[in-house]
Amino acid sequence: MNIARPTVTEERWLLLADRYRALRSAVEATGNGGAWKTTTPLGRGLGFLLGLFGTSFLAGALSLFPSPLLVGGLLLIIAAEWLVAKRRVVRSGIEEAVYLCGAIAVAVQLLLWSDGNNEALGVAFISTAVLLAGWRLMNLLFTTLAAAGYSLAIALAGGSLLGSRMNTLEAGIACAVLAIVALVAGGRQWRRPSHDQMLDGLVIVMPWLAYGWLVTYGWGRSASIWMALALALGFFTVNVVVGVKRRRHAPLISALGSLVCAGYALHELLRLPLHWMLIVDGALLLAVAVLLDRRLRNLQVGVTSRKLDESASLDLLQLAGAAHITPAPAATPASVQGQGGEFGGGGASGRF
Amino acid sequence: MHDLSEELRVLSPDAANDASLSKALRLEGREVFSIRAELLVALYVAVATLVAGVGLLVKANLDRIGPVALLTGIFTASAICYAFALRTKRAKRERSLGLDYVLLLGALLFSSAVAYAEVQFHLLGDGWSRHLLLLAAWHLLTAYLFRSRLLLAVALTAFAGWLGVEARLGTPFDPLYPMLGAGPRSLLCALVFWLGSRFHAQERTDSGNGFRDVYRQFAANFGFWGALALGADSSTRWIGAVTLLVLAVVVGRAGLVERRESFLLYAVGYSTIGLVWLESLLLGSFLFTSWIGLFTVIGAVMLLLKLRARLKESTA
Repeated sequence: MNIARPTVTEERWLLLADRYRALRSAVEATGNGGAWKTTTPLGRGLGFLLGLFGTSFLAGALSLFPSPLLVGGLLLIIAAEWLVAKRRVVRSGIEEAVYLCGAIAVAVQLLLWSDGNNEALGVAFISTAVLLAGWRLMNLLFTTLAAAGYSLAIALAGGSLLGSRMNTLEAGIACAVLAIVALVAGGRQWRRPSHDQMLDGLVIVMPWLAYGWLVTYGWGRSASIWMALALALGFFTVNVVVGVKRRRHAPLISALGSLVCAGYALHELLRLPLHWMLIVDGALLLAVAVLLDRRLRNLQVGVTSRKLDESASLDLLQLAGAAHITPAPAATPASVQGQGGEFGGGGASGRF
Repeated sequence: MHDLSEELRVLSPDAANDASLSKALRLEGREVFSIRAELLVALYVAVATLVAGVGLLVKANLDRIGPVALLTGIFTASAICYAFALRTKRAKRERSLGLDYVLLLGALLFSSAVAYAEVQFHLLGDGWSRHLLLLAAWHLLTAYLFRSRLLLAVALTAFAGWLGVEARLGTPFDPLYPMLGAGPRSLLCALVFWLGSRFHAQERTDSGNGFRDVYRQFAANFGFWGALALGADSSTRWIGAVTLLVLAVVVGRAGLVERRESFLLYAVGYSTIGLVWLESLLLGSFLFTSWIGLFTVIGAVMLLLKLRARLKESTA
């Protein structure tokens, strides 16, 4: 049976058209991308949102039917398959939301019928449904979500390889191993870009999850926090080295998150007042970023901080971000309330 | 890793712009690699963290340090940030990405200090909210002085704050000043921002880099928030619905004419939300609302796909 999806060649040409806007017409003129329709990240976001809206309305519409989750789930999967096969949409957000919800609905219905009380198995089963949806649509978000779900299943599992109450530690180890495997596998050349992107998802998120599980394992114990700090700094170093050496974004994004994890661990260890930690961390990060930008912005080859492509989504995000951290108006200025401002408002809200 | 150089080499240099093709080849071959996006995230997180830390510092040490010392410290830090930008401007150099965010930090610290001074000393008395208007004016002035889109965004948000509209998700349904209505205030903001964009009519419509784009993005969003807020109130429900429809047509058309996908997405997204909201208010029955809502979303999806195709045709 042939599954409707872009071939490797088509996917590569589609990606080329998306990646280089100035070349889009020339790329599309070759006709190598097939009849597939893609969209921008903003469009994909709205498509996903509309897909979720549609799914929730379908859930309401089928609420009086017998086995609504199974019926609705199957309908959603059929609708998503129709969108892909007939409308030739790929990465449009709509079919992704519909497929994901359909797969989860079917899995949940089957779990309800099985009447099992094993939470870990249930989570693993739902994660498998998400993984299958991710594999079907070649979606890195779903495959990463499935990996996170499996780590949750390990943490919830009754038995443990490393002794009693070690489940979260095992989940952390599993995430760390998966992160390393993905990092190593990402070093080889992949013909299908989506396979590469799926590995990128694991490279980015798994170190953060490993840190999270480790912190959960030894909540409040300094030995555990030291371990978590070492893990975060270890992943930060490795990812920065690999990211710069391979010139890849995923390890660098992961390294940024690891830095936040390390900052939090330091805060737990040093027990400095939160405001000083925030000010020191923020000032350090700002200084490093400004210096890096200053050093790299004029470089014409190698790693640079120059703007090399036109990204409307990034420009919009910057404006939204600036608006978000702008002081919010206070309802009344009558007295000092000691609120310290909202996060990002920096106390400038007038709600002191 | 994946590398699309193979496909790029197949492209005929006649069909593709030569400079774009060689640039793409350099990028695919990792000859040049930009970490601009990572730096942007780091700079944003750094500024947000610093400003939040300053807010907490004010709260925690108000009694110990005292308002005058705190204000002096924050104003000094803000002045240092502005000084960096001023030095670059005087040297007639282009401001770097990092300095853009240092300037933003200066503006936010300045806002913090002014707001704190107002709360502490009641400088404007009953007209306390005017400090937001003064801040908006200050940020607008510095935005033009330094030619900064980020400062313009701060200025427009401060102005909206003075009018009593918070630029945050969900506020159309939870207005700060319910008696005066968030809907008309948002619409007034949208009108002012749209008028602001008229001063930059000479800028290219599809560049997305100038001030015109900032004004228009804010005008579109505030306009839709205003229409949704009107629709949320039973007395102005139909006015809100009509306003939403008109705005969707105007903004959607502008998106097609100016080839701006974001405007098309606003038109489809906000009008779908408004329509579904209206249906749920009018129909009442859960089952009926669900079915009508489902068909509305299907219609919106079809419209979105059609508009995308038209946009693609017009950009081809």
